[in-house]
Amino acid sequence: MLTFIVRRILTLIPVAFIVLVVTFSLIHLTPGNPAYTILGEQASPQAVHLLDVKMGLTQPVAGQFIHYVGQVAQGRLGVSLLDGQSVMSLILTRLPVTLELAVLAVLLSLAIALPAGILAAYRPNTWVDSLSRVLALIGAAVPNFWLALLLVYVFAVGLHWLPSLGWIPLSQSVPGNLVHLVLPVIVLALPLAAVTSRVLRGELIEVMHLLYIQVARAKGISEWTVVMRHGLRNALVPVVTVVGLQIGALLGGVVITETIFSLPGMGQLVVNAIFDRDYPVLDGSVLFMAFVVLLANLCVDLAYAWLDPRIRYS
Amino acid sequence: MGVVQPQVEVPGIEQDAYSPRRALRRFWRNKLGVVGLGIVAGFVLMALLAPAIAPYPPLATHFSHAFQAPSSRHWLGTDELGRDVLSRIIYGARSSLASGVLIVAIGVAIGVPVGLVSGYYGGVVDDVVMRLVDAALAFPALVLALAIAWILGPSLMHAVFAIAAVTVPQFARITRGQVLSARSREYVEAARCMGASPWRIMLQHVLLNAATPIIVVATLNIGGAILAVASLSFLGLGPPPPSPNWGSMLQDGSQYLNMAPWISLFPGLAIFLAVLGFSTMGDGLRDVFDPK
Amino acid sequence: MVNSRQALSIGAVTLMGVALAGCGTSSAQGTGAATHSGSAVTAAPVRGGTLNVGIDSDFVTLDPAMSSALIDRQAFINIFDPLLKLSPTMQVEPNLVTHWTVANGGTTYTLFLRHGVKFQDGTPFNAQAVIYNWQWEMNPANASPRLSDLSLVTHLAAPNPYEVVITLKAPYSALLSVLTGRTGMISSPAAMKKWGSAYGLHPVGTGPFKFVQWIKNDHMILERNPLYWKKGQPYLNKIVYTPITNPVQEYNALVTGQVNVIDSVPYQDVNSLSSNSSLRYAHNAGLGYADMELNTQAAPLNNVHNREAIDYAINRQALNQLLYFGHAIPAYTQFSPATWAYDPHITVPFSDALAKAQLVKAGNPHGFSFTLLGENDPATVQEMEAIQSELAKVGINMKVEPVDFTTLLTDAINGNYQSDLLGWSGRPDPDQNSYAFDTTGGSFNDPRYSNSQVDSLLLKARETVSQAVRKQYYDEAATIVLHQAPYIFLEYTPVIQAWSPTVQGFQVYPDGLMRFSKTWIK
Repeated sequence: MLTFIVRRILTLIPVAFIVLVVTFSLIHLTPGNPAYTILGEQASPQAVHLLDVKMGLTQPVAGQFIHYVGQVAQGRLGVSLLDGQSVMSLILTRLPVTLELAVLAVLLSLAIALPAGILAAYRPNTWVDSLSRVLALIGAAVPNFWLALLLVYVFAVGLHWLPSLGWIPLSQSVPGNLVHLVLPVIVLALPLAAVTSRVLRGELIEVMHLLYIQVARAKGISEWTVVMRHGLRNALVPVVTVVGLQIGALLGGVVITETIFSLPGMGQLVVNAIFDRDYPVLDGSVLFMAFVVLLANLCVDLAYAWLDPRIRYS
Repeated sequence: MGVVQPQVEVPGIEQDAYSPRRALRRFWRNKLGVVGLGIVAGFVLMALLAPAIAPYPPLATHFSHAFQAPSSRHWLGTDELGRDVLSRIIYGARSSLASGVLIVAIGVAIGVPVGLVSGYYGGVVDDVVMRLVDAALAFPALVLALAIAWILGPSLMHAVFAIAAVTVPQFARITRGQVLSARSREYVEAARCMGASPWRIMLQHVLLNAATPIIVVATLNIGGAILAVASLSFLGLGPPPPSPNWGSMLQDGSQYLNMAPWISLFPGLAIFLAVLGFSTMGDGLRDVFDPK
Repeated sequence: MVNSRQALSIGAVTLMGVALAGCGTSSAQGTGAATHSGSAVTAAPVRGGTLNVGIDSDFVTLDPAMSSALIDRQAFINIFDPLLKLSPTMQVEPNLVTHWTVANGGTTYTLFLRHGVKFQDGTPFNAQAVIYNWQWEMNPANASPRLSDLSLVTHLAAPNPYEVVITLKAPYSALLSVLTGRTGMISSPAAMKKWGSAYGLHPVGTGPFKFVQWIKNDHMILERNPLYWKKGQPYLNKIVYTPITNPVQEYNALVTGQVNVIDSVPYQDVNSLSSNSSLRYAHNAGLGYADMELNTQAAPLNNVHNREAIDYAINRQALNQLLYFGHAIPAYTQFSPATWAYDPHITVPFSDALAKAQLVKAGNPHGFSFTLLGENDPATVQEMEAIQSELAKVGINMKVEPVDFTTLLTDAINGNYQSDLLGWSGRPDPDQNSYAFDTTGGSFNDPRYSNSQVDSLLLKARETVSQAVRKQYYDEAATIVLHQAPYIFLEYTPVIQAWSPTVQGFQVYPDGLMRFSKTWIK
C-alpha cells in the first residue's frame, strides 16, 4: 500500500510537467501578446515593440519556457505582466472565494442528494424513486449559464430578493457574504446533486442485497434503521469518491458561474488571463487548478485501493 | 460543469443478460427511456425538416420588428435584429445535434482504440498513455476547451475539435477499465490458452464486451457534448454570426434580459430539452443493459 | 433635444476658446449647456459619507505613465489632478498650471505652477516633479504610452521651482489639451522611486482623493485627501469603485441600490430612466465614436469605390435606432459634436442607388465579399450583424468574425485584416482625433491610408494657433477622408450616466470621466 502511494505520487511529476508544457505552448501559440492588451486603444506599432522588449517577450519562446520551468521548480510562479502583482498572491486572494463557493456547493448538493438518494433506495421503483430520478435527469441537463440568467431574472431583477452579482468577503459581513452566494451556489450545486443522488441510490440498493444486511433484516430491525445504520454507512464511501471525481467539473462550472455573477475567484482569474494573454497568471493558475484536480484524483484512487482490494495495483 | 463528464457509473457486463430482442422489449417498457427517445426524435425531425417547418427564414432581419414579445405572428418573439426566435431555434437544432454526435464519434474513434491498446498491453505503453490521459483530465475541461477554441478562432468545427480533444481521454479511460476487467475473465484467459492472437482476442472478446457500456456512455455523452458546445458558444466561441446557434443566441440576447427575456430564455430551453432527451435515453439504455 | 444642445455647446466653445488664449483665470463652472439633468448644487454641501460607484470594467493600472485603458482615467481624475483641466464644454482651463505663455512661433511653452500644492505623501509638487515624470515617460526603456504625446519635446527646463519651459521640435497646437489628460497627471517622484515597477499598485498624486486599496475585479477604495489644495474639498470621505462588466447587471446594481452612481447606462434602459423618479441621469454627446476601419492596402477594400459603396449602403439612422435606441448621433467624421471641430454639414447620404453606382465604378457591379473583425461581446456582435444585413441589401457579402480584443488589435496593427470594428474614445483637441489616424505612417493609422493632401492639411492644422483657421483645415481634411473612406464612421457614442437622488453636486462631462471633488451625499 505504501509503495503504491509513493509510486502514485511520483507519477504526478510527469503529469504536472505535461500540464505545464501544454499550458505554456497553448497560450504562447495564441495570436497576440499582452503588449496589445495593455496598450489597448493606445497600441501603435512603436509602443507595442517597446513594451515587448520591456517585458522580455522578444526572446525566443524556448528560452522563456526554460526560464519559466526553472522558476516553477523553485516554487515561484512569477508576476503578472499587466500589473506586476505576484501570481501566487493573486491566486491566494482568489482562492477563498472559489473555495467557499465550491464547499457550499458540495454541501448544498449533499443536502439535496442524500435525502433524495436514500428515499429512492428505500422505496425503489416507486413514484418516489421515479421522481428523484426525473429531478436528477433535469438537474444534470440544465445549462448552468441559462439557469444563472433565469435565477437572476426571477430573484434579482423581478423579485429584488437577492443581489444579482458581486461579492462581500466573509471578514466584512457574514450575512452579506452568504446572500451574494445563494444564486451561484444553487447553480453549481444542482448538477452535482443530480449525479450524487443517483450514485447513492445505486450503491444503497446494491449494499442492501449484501449478506449482513439480510442478516440485520432477519433480526427484525426495521427497514428504515437498516437503511440508515447499515446501508448508508457503506454506501457513503463511493459517494465521497464521486464527489471527489466531480472536482474537475466543479472547477469548470466555477469558470462560468464566477463570470456571470462577477465573483472574484480563480475562474475569473483564468478567464481574464486568457483574454489578456497574461502568460504567468494563466500558466500559474491553470497549473494550480490542475494540481488540485490531480490531488483529488489521487485521493480517489487511494480510496478505491483501500475499499476494493480486488483491484490489483502492482 | 458544461463540459462532457460521463456522469454515470460504467455498467458492468452482464454477459448473458440480454438478447437483442429482449433488450428492445425491455427498453420499450422503460417509460423514461421512451420519453427520452421521443425528445431526441423530435429534435432530429426538427433539424431535418427545418426549411419546411420554420415559419420565417432564420437570417431574415427586420430592424423595425426587433424585440417583439411572443405573439401569434412570432410564437417565441423576435430577437435584437428582428429575426424570428422560433425559426432560429429550429435551424439551430442542426448545428447542435450534428456537433454533439460528431464530438462523441471522434471521442470513440480515437479514445476506444487507445484505451484498448493501453489496457491490453499494459506495461510501459499503458503507463505513458495513462499519464497523458491523467494530464488531459487534470485540466479543468472547460478551460482547456476554451484555450484550444481560442487559438483556433471561433467556428463550430473548432469548438467541436476542442471538446472532442477533452472527450478522447475520457473514452480511453473507460475502455481501458473495461479491458482490464475483461482481461482477467475466464473466457479471455481460455482464448489466450488456446493460442488466439492478441488482436483477435482484443477485437472479438474484449471489445465486444466493452461495446455495451461504451454505447451507453456515448449516448449519455452526446447530451454533455451539446451542452459543452453551447457553453463555448455562450462564451463567444461557437459558429460565427449570423448562423443560428442556441448558445450564441442565448449570449447575444442576454444583454436585453430585462427588456426582452424571451431572446435568451427560449434558446436555453432548447439546449436543456435536447440534453435532457439524450441523457434520459441513455439512462434508459443503461437500464436495459444493466438492470439493477 | 440632442441637436439644440449641440448648437449651444458649440457656441460656448468658440467664445471661450478665444477668451482662454490670453491667460487663464476662467472659473467657468459648467452649469452646462451640455448637462441635461445634472444635479444642480442647491443646498449647502455636507461633509462625509461613502460613494459607491459602478464602473463597466476593472482598472488595468493606476500608474498614469503606464496606463492605456480608458477606464483607468476614472480613477486618475480623482487621484491625480491634471496640470490643466477641462470644463464641461471641453475647454482647457487652468488647474495646477495657473497660467502659461507660448512663444517662438508655438515651439516654446512656459507653464507657471500653482504654489503650495503637495502630493498625498506630503512631498512638494513642483517643476522638478513635473520634469521627473516627463523624463521617465520619454525614456524608451520604460515603454510609456505617453511617449508619443511628448515626441515633439526636445528640451525641458525648470528656471525656478514653479516654472517649466518646454521646447518643441515643431509647433503643436494640441499640447495644452494633452496636458489635461494622463500626460498632465503628475505622480510623486518619491513614490515612483519607492515602488519602482509596482508603482501602478500604489499611486500617489495631488488629487482630491488618495488611493487606499485595490482588489482586482472586486473593488478599489479611495479616501479623502486631507492635503488637497482646494480648501474644504472634497466632501466625500470615501469612494468605492466596483467593476461590473455586464451592462445589464451594472444597471441592476444601481436600481437595487448596490451602487450610487454608474458610468454608463444600457441604451435600452434610458427611456425608462426618464420616467423613474427614484433615479437621476444625464445624457451628453461624447467625444468618441464607433467606426469600421478598412484596410486600404488589401483587396477588395484597396478599391476606393468599394469603400465608398459601404459608406452609402449603411443606414446610420436605422443603426442608431436599433443599437442605441436613438440616443447616439450618426457620425461622418472623427470630430464629435462635443468638440469645436464638429461640422454637421459634412455627411454622405444613405442611398442604395449611390452604393450600387460605386460598385459599378469599382468593376464589381454585383458586389464583393470581405470579412469584418470585431470584439467578441454581445453588443458588438449585434452591431456587426446589423451592418452585415445592411450591406447584404446592395450585394456586399460581409462575413462577421468576432475575436477577442487582443487578437483584434494584433491583426489591426499588423495590417492582417480586411476590416475591423474599433472605436475611439475621443480627445478634446481635434489633432488628437485625426493626426495619428489619418496621416501617412501615423501610429494609429490601421487602414494604412495615405493621402498627401490630408497629410499637409493636418500638419498645417497642428501648427496653427487660431482655432477658426484650424477648423477650416479640419473640415477640408474630414471631407476628403469621408469620401476616400479608410474609415466608415458610424455613430458618435453618447455619455449617459445615472445616479441615485442622494448624490449631489455631480455633473456629467462629454469625456465621461466622473469627477467627485464637489460631490456630496444628502
